[in-house]
Amino acid sequence: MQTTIKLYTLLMTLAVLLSAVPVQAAPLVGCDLSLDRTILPADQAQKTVIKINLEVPAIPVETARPPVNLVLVLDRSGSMSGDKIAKAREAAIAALRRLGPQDLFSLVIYDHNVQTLVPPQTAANSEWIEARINSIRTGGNTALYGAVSQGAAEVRKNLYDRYVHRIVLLSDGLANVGPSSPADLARLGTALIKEGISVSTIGIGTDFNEDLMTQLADRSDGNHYFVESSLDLPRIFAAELGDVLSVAARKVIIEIDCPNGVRPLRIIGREGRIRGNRVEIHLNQLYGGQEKYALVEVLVEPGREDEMKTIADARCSYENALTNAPESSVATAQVRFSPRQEEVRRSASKVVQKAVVENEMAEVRDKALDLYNAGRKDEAVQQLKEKSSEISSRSQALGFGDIAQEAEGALQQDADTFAAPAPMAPAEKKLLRSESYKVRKQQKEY
Amino acid sequence: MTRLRLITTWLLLLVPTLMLGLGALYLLKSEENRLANSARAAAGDRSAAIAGNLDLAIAEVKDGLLETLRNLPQENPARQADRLEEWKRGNPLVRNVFIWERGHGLRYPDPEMPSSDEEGDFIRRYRSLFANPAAWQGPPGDIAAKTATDQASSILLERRELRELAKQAPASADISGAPAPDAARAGTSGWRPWFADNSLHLLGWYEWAGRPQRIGVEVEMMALMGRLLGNFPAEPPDTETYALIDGNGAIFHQVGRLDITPDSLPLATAAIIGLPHWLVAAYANSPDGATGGSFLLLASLLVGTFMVAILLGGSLLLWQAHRNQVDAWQKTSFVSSVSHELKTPLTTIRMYAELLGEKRIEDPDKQRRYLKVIIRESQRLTRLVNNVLDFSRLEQGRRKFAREELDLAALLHGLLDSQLVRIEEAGMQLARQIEATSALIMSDRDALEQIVLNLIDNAIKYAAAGKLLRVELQPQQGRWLLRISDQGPGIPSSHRQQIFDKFHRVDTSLTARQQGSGLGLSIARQLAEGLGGTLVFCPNTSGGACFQLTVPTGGDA
Repeated sequence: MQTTIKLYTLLMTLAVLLSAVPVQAAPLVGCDLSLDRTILPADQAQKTVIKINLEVPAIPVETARPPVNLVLVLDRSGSMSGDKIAKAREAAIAALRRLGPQDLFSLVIYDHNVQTLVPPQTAANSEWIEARINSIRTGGNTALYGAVSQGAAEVRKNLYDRYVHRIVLLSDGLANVGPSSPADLARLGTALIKEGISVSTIGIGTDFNEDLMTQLADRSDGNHYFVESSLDLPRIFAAELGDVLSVAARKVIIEIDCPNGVRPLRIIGREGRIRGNRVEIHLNQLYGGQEKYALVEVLVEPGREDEMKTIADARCSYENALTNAPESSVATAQVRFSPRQEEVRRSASKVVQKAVVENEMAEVRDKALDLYNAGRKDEAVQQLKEKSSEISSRSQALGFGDIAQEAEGALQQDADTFAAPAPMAPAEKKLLRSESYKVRKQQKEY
Repeated sequence: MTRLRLITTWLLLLVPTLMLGLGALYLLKSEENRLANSARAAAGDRSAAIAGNLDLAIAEVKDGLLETLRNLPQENPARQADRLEEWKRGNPLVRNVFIWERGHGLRYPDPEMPSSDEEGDFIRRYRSLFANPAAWQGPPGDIAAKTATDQASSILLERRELRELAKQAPASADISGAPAPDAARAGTSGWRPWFADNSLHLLGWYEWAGRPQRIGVEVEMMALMGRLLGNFPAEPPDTETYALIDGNGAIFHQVGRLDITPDSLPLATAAIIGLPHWLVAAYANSPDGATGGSFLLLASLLVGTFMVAILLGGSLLLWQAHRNQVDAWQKTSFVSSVSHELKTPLTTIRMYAELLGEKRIEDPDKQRRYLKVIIRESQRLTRLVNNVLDFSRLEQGRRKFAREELDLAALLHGLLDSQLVRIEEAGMQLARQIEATSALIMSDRDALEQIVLNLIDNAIKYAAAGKLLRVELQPQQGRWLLRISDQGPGIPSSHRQQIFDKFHRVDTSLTARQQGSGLGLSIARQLAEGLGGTLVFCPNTSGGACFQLTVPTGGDA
């Protein structure tokens, strides 16, 4: 009898002890480095691209997702009248219905004035909110900056709670009251991401300023959508909500340290900082079931034959949105040097190269469009052509003729479009911007 | 005379009313000005309050940022840069950080190798500042701006002092240690507004005493401004719009429904000290000033209504008084006329009756003649009394018409036959043009007889000299037209309008050649209208008067 009790006590103690020991679970976000070539030619300085993959598993449905603090900023200027505002209202209500009672919803509408129509409150209060949404009427100008600022103010009311903060901005026209340059709105986005607020922008029709909308979304790490027809609005809202509701990690910082002898040259596609041997890239949020990556090009000093060299230590730190605990994962990339050309070629990764080519194409398209918009059409075409041959020759060298061909064809087509005597259609520009945005940010297809 | 008095009286009414109205309008105008001025003053106050709030908020941010800089430990530049960088990463109000060294220039970020595009832009924006130590001193402001700055900075200073006071440590702590920490931290700091890329930037710096380095911060203007917008009223007054205007004169933010254009003239503006060349401006939503002009319009309408009411009421009273006066005069004249009229036949009757009563007249012919005169005069008396009676009945609306079927032609013939003697005695010839053998109508016999009798009386009285009395009867579109005309002197055109008015007589003097009450035509017309017909004067082409009576057949009446 006594032994049984003793055994029981022992077991209990063990159980308590075991449960008290923190179990270091595997990090939620896996960090993984891959290179365009794992074997580099020996005895010569080489440029190589490191791809930092962030893999987020899909969050199971039964898991309690982090609550969302969603602020909808709706343009109700005169140009929105008719079908657009009707569809926007419909989409806003559909979005509201997808939120749960733990989520917060607020609505800011703007013309040349900004008005908070629905102050932040639980989405369970849907009847009243829907009535408010349905009361929106159109008219006036577009005070976009003031509206986003006001939206941010609404977010801030609950900033220090564990919400996924998101502003969704919908506009169909040029900002004509207040700051309206893409650079100004980019600064606003840069400031907002420091507070963990992302702005997703939805441009509707062909009259909005795509540069402004993409820059704002880019700097605040939100999504950007371009819809020509208001009929697509509900679908876009659903896509955006799908992302917002599946946030798995917050405040993601990717740090890549290169040892001596390896120098980071540039970040392809994304915004980031290169300071000495360290590369820093910030992402606001990661979505469950989606893969994001960053590409960094580095210059590796000549290595001896068969030497193994670590070229990057990556550390991805973030806040797990499901547990609110800070987590991090690390990875290391190594290369080997070889004098044999064939070996080098065989080590080339098609996946990485494809990503590089896509992002470089997106970058050069953006750059060409900037030049084109500045009236430097010839330079734009020139840039496209140069990049085309550069990408092509590099891909050829790695042995990916198909990628080279594809890229060449696509860029040639772009060059033709830019070179055409007729001015480019606004819809075409918007499509180009939103497509390259999607590539650079690995935004889900919508 | 009466007319003149009437006009004078009316002018006496009109002039003060107009003066009153003008006075009221003048007062209203000045009241509106006063309202507009007070609205402008209020708008100015509100703008100043907003600008003041913005200033305080900016000063607060500046103080906070400098405080952070001041509290950074003194370290080697690389560690310092890391710390600053970390600060920048976490603080949305920090756009860029830098370390500058006297005699060396920019230390961090590395001007040769900016770590991002933004850093490259930052280095470019401030190149002239970092290259030239003298540029750190801002340009001297104009005097007006300076006094405003002084005022504002005194307020800010007071706040700072208050804050320092609140932070004061207990006195016991002071006994042991000298104010060493403060002295160690005593350094210089400052802010430099900087215009680049066509916009305003704010650069704050701190320099430790005895060290050549300056650490500094560039404010993220877009984040700062975005947060400042909350200082604008969420629900501005309905009549005004407030706007924040940036250094380029463009609207940065606005509250209120006005669509501000470059030609919109602000009601009031207030400068923001913390943001050089920026303004808070208040605009009236309607172009007519703060009251929207509706005040004056409404008040003028009210005054106008009052004036019209006074004038109308006064004129009505005047007209009433005038009519009463005329009525009274007419009645007096009527009484004297009627008395005279009654007296004449009475005198005649009495005279002949006395003659007959004294039996001095033997001649039976003469006697018969005298009796005839008596009868005729008493008939005249009867007619006169009938007229007066009828008149009072008509006036009071008590005249009843007894309609019956009658033959107008027969009635006319009978009447003319009975009056033939009188007509011929007056020396007139009667011309009948009554073609219809029978003219059946539904009407009042007595009324018809009285109308015709009155007309014939008039003819005998005034147109006997014309020697001819023409009576015509003819059908016309379902009614009968009876025309009685003479060759007499006619009626002067100036009287034609009034001959049907009661008591009106062409010759109103008591010594008039012909006696009369001025009732005959008035009664005739009223009777004719009572029967559903009309009686009008139609001038005779060959001179003389002509009256035309229309009588409905009365089938439907």
